[in-house]
This record gives sequence, structure tokens and C-alpha cells, in this order.
Amino acid sequence: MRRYTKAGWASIGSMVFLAVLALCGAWTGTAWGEESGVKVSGEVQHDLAISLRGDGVVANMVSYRLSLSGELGGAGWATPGSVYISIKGDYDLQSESGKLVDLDEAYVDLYFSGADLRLGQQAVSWGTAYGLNPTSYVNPMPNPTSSPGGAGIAGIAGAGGLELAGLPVPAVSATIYPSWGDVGLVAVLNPRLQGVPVPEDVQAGIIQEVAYEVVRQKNIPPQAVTPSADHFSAEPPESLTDRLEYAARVGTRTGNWDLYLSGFRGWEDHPVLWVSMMPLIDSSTGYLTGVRVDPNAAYRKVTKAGFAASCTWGPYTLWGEASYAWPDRVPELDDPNNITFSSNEPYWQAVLGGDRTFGDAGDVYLMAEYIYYSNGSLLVPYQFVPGKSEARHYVVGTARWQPAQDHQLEVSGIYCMNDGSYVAMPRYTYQLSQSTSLWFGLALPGGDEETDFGGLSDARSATVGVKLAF
Amino acid sequence: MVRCEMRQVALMGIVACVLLAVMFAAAWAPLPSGRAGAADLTAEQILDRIESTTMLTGSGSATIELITENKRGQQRSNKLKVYRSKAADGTEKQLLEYLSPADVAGTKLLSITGGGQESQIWLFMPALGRERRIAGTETRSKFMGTDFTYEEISGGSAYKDDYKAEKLKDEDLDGRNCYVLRLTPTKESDYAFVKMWVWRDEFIPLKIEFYNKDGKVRKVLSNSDLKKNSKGKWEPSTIEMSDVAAGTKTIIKILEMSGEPVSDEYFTVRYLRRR
Repeated sequence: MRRYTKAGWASIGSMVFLAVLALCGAWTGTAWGEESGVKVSGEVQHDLAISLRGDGVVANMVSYRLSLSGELGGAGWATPGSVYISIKGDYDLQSESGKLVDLDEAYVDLYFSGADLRLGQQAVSWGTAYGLNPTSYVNPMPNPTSSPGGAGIAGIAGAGGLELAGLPVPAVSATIYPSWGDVGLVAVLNPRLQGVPVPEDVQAGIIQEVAYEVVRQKNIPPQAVTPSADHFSAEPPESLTDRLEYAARVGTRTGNWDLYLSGFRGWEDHPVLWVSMMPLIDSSTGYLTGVRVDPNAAYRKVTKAGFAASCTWGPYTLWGEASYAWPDRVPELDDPNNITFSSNEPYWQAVLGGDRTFGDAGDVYLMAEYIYYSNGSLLVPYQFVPGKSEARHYVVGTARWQPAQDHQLEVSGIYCMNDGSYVAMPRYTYQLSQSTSLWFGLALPGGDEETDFGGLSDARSATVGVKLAF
Repeated sequence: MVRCEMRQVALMGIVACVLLAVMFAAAWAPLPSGRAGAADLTAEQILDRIESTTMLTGSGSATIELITENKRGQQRSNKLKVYRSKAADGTEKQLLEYLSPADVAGTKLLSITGGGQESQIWLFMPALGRERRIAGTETRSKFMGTDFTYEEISGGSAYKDDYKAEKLKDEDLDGRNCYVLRLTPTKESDYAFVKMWVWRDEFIPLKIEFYNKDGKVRKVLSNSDLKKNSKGKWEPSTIEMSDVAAGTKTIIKILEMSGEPVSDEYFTVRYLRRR
């Protein structure tokens, strides 16, 4: 007789919870939502990723999202508007980790004669490019490689129509609509810092590497190097005025063009990292007896300016988007005695791309995009090689074909022009019913171990998934 | 997501044409009609009268259900709200808002065409949280996932311009007396000829058969569930296109329709961004 562990029961419990949620959602969405004016919708998804390197199941993820929305504008309201709230959750049955309930977005919209106001936890989505938007400053971006089993890697290239969505933050945003376009103003009240946490095992690995390097340089025994911590720790800003972030955008639509200028003053998503070293000297002999290694991290503010445009040219849609960032100087990063993983240098990010549909409207879709990062890798916000960061160039492409109403084939990929590494992601999707879809996909990273995507060889996997939307 | 985008562009074209054909048929003020008044009309005059139902300009809105059926009989349904406006300078504006199914609900598509400008289309997807400017589809032949083409549902004007009409013997169809026209293309076409049954009393095409070069029926369009609207005008509430060769079917059900003018604020990027 099979014995269930406590964690196993928790897994079963979470699946039952999600199944009940799906049923309730489906019922309320049809029975309650339409009659009350409240719209209920959601989705439940299950992804199973199996390693192609023989490591078995690497991810067994159940996730859901449930949202409610309704209109304001009854007798008690002076101005029309709407309310929206959504919760989400996920649980990895493989690693037995996850968050069952997390607030996603929760805001109130108010519509005035010349302006719309949104108050609450929200995602402010700016930009014209697919997938990666250098001018979408407000919301921290989740790391596309943080999901196990290659499911996250797919997000880099927009496989399966994925776009990288920022993590919602509490904010006030206003959009004013003059006759020539729109002006967007955003004040973030409490930035969701550490949107892309560096995994603790990676942090420990970095500190270990530093210790080895010290051992090599100082020619001292390994036990003489003592890290003061096994991870980097950064304190978020405390006062409300310190936490505030501001963003503004001006846009206009002229002819076949959409044009935007934007700016941002706020916090970077990731803390900067450096390691300082303290020599330990024997006071009686004056000899070096060891070295203390102190891992340090600090959040810093940054000022950004950007430009985004899109246009249509015959059957093509074209877009270009770029931002330039001036980070506030952190003196420790310029100290030659420290080992630094971040830089005080300003940096560029840019995206240029286009897409087109061929044949009858749904037959073949092609998209290509060039991405430029002046401050290093798209995947890792830190540099591990001393000296100035090498600018990186990437090409992203997607080809999609729908041979019949219920079947879709697609191949997405991203290629790093600097080191020749890549990730290819073929995928087949079958629409089982109006509300249920199944898919099978592969995540195939390639390249040397030290390259951008070659280092993701653990994520070489096959994924099967099912999604129920209600 | 992009697949959804392509579908929406396709549906936009279909909905635009269907609404032209149906909404303005409802608004058409009948000329002296009925068997006696129209007995001597020529084929071209009958096409003119059909054309007049699609030539009216104006504004309106409708809620429709668009159903596609594959050859195994499995159906997919989209429920949409459509707002439409046509200005005196020929600028046509249309907003298409998805009400269901859940995975596309809240998606909106805004198009501004005509008036001497290039077409402009924006798509708003709630999951993305912003609009995207997109190009129209390259071809105006068959749209993905449906059995319609622009040509087949663009009303009498296209037939008048692109076909030579010949009047055949009148027939009864579902108890309604109909003119029967045979239309032969004067330009390059997928069809050898088209046969059209036009209700004599109201000049509404009730059935259109499209014949291929072998003389076999390739597609059949039918307008059914004719009802009088609040203004006393007849209008079809179900439009069905069957692809006989492929065994597929597209059905459009008009759930609600209004000829009331639609405010210009609906046809803005601002409205797209609202939930």
C-alpha cells in the first residue's frame, strides 16, 4: 500500500483546491457573473517538464489565476469607472514549493472627461516591442530563467505567445488625453524590489568562487578565508519618500506611426553586488593569517530616458524601442580593493523588430527581433568577469503555423550573437475544446557551458501542459 | 496570443461586412416594393436595390455570436460587441470587443479605414495591458477559421461591380417569393458563377450559391431567422456560410442590434485601454 508523505498530502490538497477553484470559477463565471454585472474569469494550468538529460521530472507545476471585475457608475458614484482584482498562485509538486494565494492586481479605475486614473496594485505596461520592453520601467521583470524545466526560458523568446509581464506594484497612474495623443504619469508608492532574486545557491556559489580566488591570489590555505555570510543581503529603502518612484510618458499617433518619449526615476530591480576583503593580521607577528570575505549588496536608484515607436508598412508591423540608464553612483563599486559584480557605468537597452502574416489570415506568422544590451547578459544582471561589461547582441525569432482550427505548430528561438549559444523551442498546441488546450513542447538550449544559453543545459527538457480557461 | 491576434483581424473584416449588409438593411427605407411594384425590374435594377441596403452611411452597434464548425461538427463560439461609425468623408471606424470565450474576453480591436488614409489597426490584449499597432491581413481571400471572404459578404455593390447579372425564373424559398439571379464574374474570380435568391418584398438576399469551374456548388450562404426590428424593417438574425467542399461552416447570429449613433469616444486608443 502506498504511503503518502505530509508533503504528498499537501500536493494532493493543492490540486484538489485548484480543481474546486476551477469548478467554482466556471460556475460563478456563467451563473453569477453575468447576472450581477461582475465578470468572473480565470484559468488553471498544469505543466510537467521532463529532463532530456535523464534527470527525470524537473518541474510539475500547477498554477491558477482568478479575477473579478465590475463597473462603477451607479447612483453613488460621481464618475464612471471600474474595479478589478485578481489573485494567482502556483505550486510545484516536484520541489513541493510555491505560493497558493498571492495578490496579483487590485485597482480602481476612474474616468474623467480628459483623463483616466488608476489607483492600486497594478502593472503599467509601456513599450512597443514584443517580449522585452526597455521602456517598461515601472514593474520589476521576473527572471525568465527562474522557472524550472525550461518553462521560463520559453518566455525569453515569447514562445507560446508569452510576453514577459512585470510584477504589479502599488501605484497611482494617470493618463491625460489631449487631442494629439496621451500623457501618462505614474507614481509608485512602494516598489517591489528584488523582483528578480538571485537564487541562494547561486549566491553561495559566487561567494565560494571569491574565496577560491582569494586563496589563489594570497597563497593562503582555504581555511584561512572566512566568508562573513553565505549570501548577499540588501535592505530595501525604509522611508516612504525614499521608496517613491516616478515615471512619465508622452505619446502621439501620426499617420501610421505610434511614437513615445518616456522617463523614469526610481529603483533598479536588482541590488548591486560586491565583495570586500578584510585582511586578518596577527598583531604579534604582523603576518597575514587570513582574509575575511564580506558579501555586500545595495539597492540603488536609476534615471532612465527612452523612446519607443511602431508603425505599419504594407503587411509588416515594425517596432523599435530603446532606453538609456544613468545609475546613481555606488562608491564601493569603484574601489579597486573590492571584487565587484555590478558597475556604475550608464547602459543602453534596445529592441528592433517586425512581424508579418503570410497567406490567408491565419496561415503563417513570422516575427524577428534584434536585442541589444550594453551592460552584459540578458539573463544575468551581474558581471563575473573583471573589467567593463561586454555588450551583448541577440536575435529572437518566432514562426507559427495553424494548419487547422484546433492545431498550431510553432518554433521560437533566441540566439546570442556574441557566443553562438541559443535556445530553440518547438511547440505543438491542440485546442481540445473551447476552454481547454493541451500542448507539447521542447526547450533546447545549445552552446558551450560558459556561454549565455549553453549554461542552461540543465533546462533541456520536454514539457506537456494543459490549460482550462473559464 | 498572436494566433488570437490574427483571428481577431480576420473576424474584424467579417464582422464589418456582415454588419454593413445586415445593419443597414435594417435601416433601409423600402422603395415601393412587393410583387406589383417590382415586377418589371431588370437584374441590374435588383442588384441596385440590394446595393442600396449597403450604401447607407451611419453608425450603430451590435452583439453577435460567431460560430465556426469543423468537418467533424465541432463548434467554436466567439461572442462579440461591435461598434461602428462612418463619417461623411468616408472614414469608417469600428471597435470590436470580445465578450467570450474567457481566454479572449476583454480583447479589443480598433480599426480606422477610408477617408483617403491608410488603414490603422490597434489591438488591445488585457493580459499584455497595452495596445499594439498591427498591420491588416495581406490577402482579402479566405479568412482563418471561417468560411467567409470579403467578396462573398460584401453585399450588392461588389456583385454589381464585379459580376454580370442575368435574371432567371422566380422561385419560392421557404415560403418567400424570390427573384433568382445568375451572376457571372467579369473579373478574375474563384467562381464560375453565383446564383442568388433575393426576397422580392424586401430585397434581401436569402441564399447565395457559389459554383466552381466544374459547375458544382462550392459554398452556400444563407440569411435566415428574418425578424422585424423595432422600426418595422426586416433583418436576418442568422447568417450561415457553408463550405460544401471542405465540410465546414461559419454561423453568425445577431443577438442585439441598434442603429443608434455611437459616440466617437469608442473609437479611440483611450477606450481600448479601459477594462
